[in-house]
Amino acid sequence: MLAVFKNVLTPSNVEFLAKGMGLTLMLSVLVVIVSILFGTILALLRTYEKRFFGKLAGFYIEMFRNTPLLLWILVCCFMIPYGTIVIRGGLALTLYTSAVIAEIVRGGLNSIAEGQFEAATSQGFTLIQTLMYIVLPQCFKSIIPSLLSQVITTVKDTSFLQVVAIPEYTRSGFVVMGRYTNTSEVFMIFAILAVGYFVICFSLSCVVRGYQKRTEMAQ
Amino acid sequence: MIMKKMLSALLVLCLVFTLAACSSSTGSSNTASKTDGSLDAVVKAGVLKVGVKEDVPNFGLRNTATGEIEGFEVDIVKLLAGKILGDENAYELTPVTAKTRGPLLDNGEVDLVIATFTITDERKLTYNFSTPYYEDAVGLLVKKDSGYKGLADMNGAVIGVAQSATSKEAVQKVADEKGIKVSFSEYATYPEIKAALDSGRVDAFCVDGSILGGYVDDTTMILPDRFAPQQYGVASKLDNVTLSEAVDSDINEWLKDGTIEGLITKWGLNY
Repeated sequence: MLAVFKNVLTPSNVEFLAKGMGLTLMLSVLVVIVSILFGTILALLRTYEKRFFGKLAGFYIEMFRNTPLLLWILVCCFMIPYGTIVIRGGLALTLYTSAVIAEIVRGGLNSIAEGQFEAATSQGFTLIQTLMYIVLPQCFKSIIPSLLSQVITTVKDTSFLQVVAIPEYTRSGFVVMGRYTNTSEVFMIFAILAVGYFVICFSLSCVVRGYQKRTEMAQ
Repeated sequence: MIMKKMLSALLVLCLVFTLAACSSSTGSSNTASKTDGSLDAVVKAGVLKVGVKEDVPNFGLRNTATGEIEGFEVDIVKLLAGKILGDENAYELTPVTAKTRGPLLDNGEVDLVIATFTITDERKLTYNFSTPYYEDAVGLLVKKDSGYKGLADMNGAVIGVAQSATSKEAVQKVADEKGIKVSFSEYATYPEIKAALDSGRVDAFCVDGSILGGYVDDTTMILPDRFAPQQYGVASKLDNVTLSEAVDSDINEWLKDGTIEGLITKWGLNY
């Protein structure tokens, strides 16, 4: 067991896997940030704008949410003539994740009573101010758990990008695997991959849970 | 009402996609008949862009220490860059997978694909292939002390194959011709089959010869039988005629003067 571990985890392999992990983290962070921004806009449109743009947002959300992510990765990577393969892959992930996050945010918006708007208007808040200072803060607070699980899913979804040979964590694991023919060594590499994703996602849960507890205590 | 509208929008989108697909395919067939400047374009760019595998040992495998892709097929890329552009290092490698190598050729991101791409009649309709630079065939790895000299001796033997591999049919066909009975046991990964061979659960390990080479050790040997040969060729876009002709004549030259033979030996692929 220890011999297998030493065989697989050579300094160069560790460095190579760390690079893959770095790309996975960078992609996840960017995709999540952009998706939350874009998803929130989509959700606001779909909830409060019942005419053209609201319908457009609804169409976008339903289209991306009900089709496989892999399809959009292939479409973006082969049909968009600009950018590097990493940018195109990240774009596909963002388009898809935005639609899913939009629905999560919409759930939060629906839980906010109509009276909040009326109260805000009576105090002279404009629509944008109402959204920024009153509606969205309450909305995000209530959706943190489901948002967190989507962020975790997105971190794991980046592994789909290995299909188009983007050198993220899973891909680097497969490249390392090319050199090993022994069953136990191959399984060791799979285990290392699994542990990597587990560490990222579990620490993410811990951080968010800790934050929630602190804010609850503060109240 | 909204559902109805969405459905019609979806239909319109499908229509647009289909139209786009049609127009792009007619576009490429129009240009195919014309003479092209694909070789000139490569010379003008000063760099040969090639798609290679990065996870296949001895053909194209990324070295985790240097970050470079190394292997038999990468050496062919270097030769081609030296021949076409006069500079062995005037190449740019793009890692490809079985799913991406075709589309990357089509959208022009790579000029050539040298990535264990098997030549088939069907694929010849969509891509140009050079003369094959390597022929791989399914082989059998057995224990030295088993006494097997070939498939003909293996009546009643259990053969370990990878799941969903074509090797099973190929061996079965030859076994039927020779009038012997063999049975198969399927495994998910190659190392598992090797473990099964070592522990005696199977009598032979059956997979592509180039992969089998990596599993030979003191106690095992590869039998001379070969099944279902498949040939690997350098692929280029169908309308890149001048480039594919140049590549083909180079490959033929290197096949004749033993350059390719030398590379095959260098990477231990002549099992």
